[in-house]
Order: sequence, then C-alpha cells, then structure tokens
Amino acid sequence: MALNERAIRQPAESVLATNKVLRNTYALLSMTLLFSAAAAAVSVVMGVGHGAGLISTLVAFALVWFVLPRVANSAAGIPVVFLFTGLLGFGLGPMLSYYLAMPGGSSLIMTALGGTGLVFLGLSGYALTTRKDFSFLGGMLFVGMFVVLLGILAVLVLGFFGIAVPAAQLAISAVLVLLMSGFILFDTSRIIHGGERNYIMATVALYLDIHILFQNLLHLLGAFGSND
Amino acid sequence: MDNWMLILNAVFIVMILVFLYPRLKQVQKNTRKASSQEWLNFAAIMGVVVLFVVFLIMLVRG
Repeated sequence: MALNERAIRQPAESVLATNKVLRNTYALLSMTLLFSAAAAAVSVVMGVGHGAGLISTLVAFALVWFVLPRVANSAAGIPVVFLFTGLLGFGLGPMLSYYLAMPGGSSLIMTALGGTGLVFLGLSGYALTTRKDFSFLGGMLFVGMFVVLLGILAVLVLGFFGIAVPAAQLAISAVLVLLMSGFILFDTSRIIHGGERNYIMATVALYLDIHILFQNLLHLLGAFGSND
Repeated sequence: MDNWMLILNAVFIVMILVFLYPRLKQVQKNTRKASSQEWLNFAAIMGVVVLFVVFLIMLVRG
C-alpha cells in the first residue's frame, strides 16, 4: 500500500516540478525577449556599427560560458540572463539598421519577427500538447550544428582572401532555420521530460533558438524577398 | 567587412566549436535510437516549416 502511494506520489511530484520549470521558463523567456527587443531598438537608434555589435555578441557568449554556469542555480542567474539577452539584442542592431535602410525593410523585419514567433509557438506548442519525446534528435542536431559552424568558418576564411560566397551563406541560413526548429522541439521536450530542471538554463537554450532562427529567417527573406 | 572583424568572427566560431565539442560527445553518447515512425513524424514537421518559410518568402515578394 505504502509502495503504491509512493509510486503515485512520485510521478505527481515530477509533473508538478516539470510544470513549474515550464511556467518559469516561459515567463522568463517572454521578459527577456521584450528586454532584448528594447536593447535592439536602442542599438538601432544609436546607430551602432558592426564592430560594436560583434563585441556585444562576444561578451554575451562569454557570460554564458564563464559566468552563467556558476550562478545558474541561484537568483544571481536572472540578472545574468537579462544581461546576456540584452547584449545579444544590442548586437542585432547593426543588422536591423541594414535592413531598415532597404526599401520595405521594416515590413521585412516584421515578417521575420512574426514568422519566428509562429514557428516557435507552433513547434513548442506541438511538443507541449503531444508530450512526444524528441530526445532522439540530440545527436543529429549537435552534429548538424558542428558542421554548420565549420561551414561558417570556411566562408569567413574565404572572405579573408576576398572571395565572397553568397550562395553558401544562404544555404547555411536555410540549414540553420531547420536546425533551430529542431532545437525548439528538442529543448521543449527536454523540459517536459525532466531533462532540464533549471529554468534559467532552459530559458537561455530557447532564447538562443529564437535569436538564431530570427537572424537567419531575416537573412533568407532579405535575399529571396526582393523581385530583383 | 573589415579584416579585424573577419578574424574576430573566426575566433568566435572556433571558440563555439571548442565549447560545443564536449557537449556533442556527451549528447551523441546519450541519444536514444528512434523508430522510423518518429523520424517520419519529425520529417513531416520540418516539411511544414519549409512550406511556411516558402510562404513567408512569397508574402514578402508580394
């Protein structure tokens, strides 16, 4: 009898813990997305250049690599997440300014933003409602990410020798859109099935999925969107 | 893009690769094998994403 009660209680406690992580993750994610958007707007208004944007992105990643693992289990992790997302948002400024200077650039950005939101809500909602386990995607997604990063490195090295490969950049963006869609399923599924119990780390993972998805969707729409 | 930015970008990508590699090994070791039905389901979801992106491109082209 006592064994049965324990067997029932444990899954119930586990579901409650999962729901708490989910609720906290989505609450923090929505706040950090708004904060990031505000930082991007400030960056556009200030007319920040590509160099400053790149440095801002580098500092954001340094925070995630060196600071966040030490504070992720305490309340100090929350300001670090805000700083991280704010810096990444600020780093988006030069890209947004570039598209805003194009004819119809603002509608392009809004379409990419809306598209990113719909892809995220659709995929995350799908993983949440079906409660399917997408943990099998992990190996493929990480290998895919590794290969794409090597591809980006190759494009940068070619760029250093004055060789531009726009087709490769577009192919990389298209693959990244698919990879980030897969990561949204994978990361949401990890929270649901107890693979991620820390809502701060879960927020950072989902934020990065959304951030990279938006950047690359905007790149694709900017490249294919014109009739020229 | 200036050369210093290209170099900084390249250093950044190398750092991501260095940080990603141990995680990649760990995830590869712990990833479960999926059934063909699960892969089919995932392919269908990705198909919907591709169609949605094509729709967005057509929307922007007007």
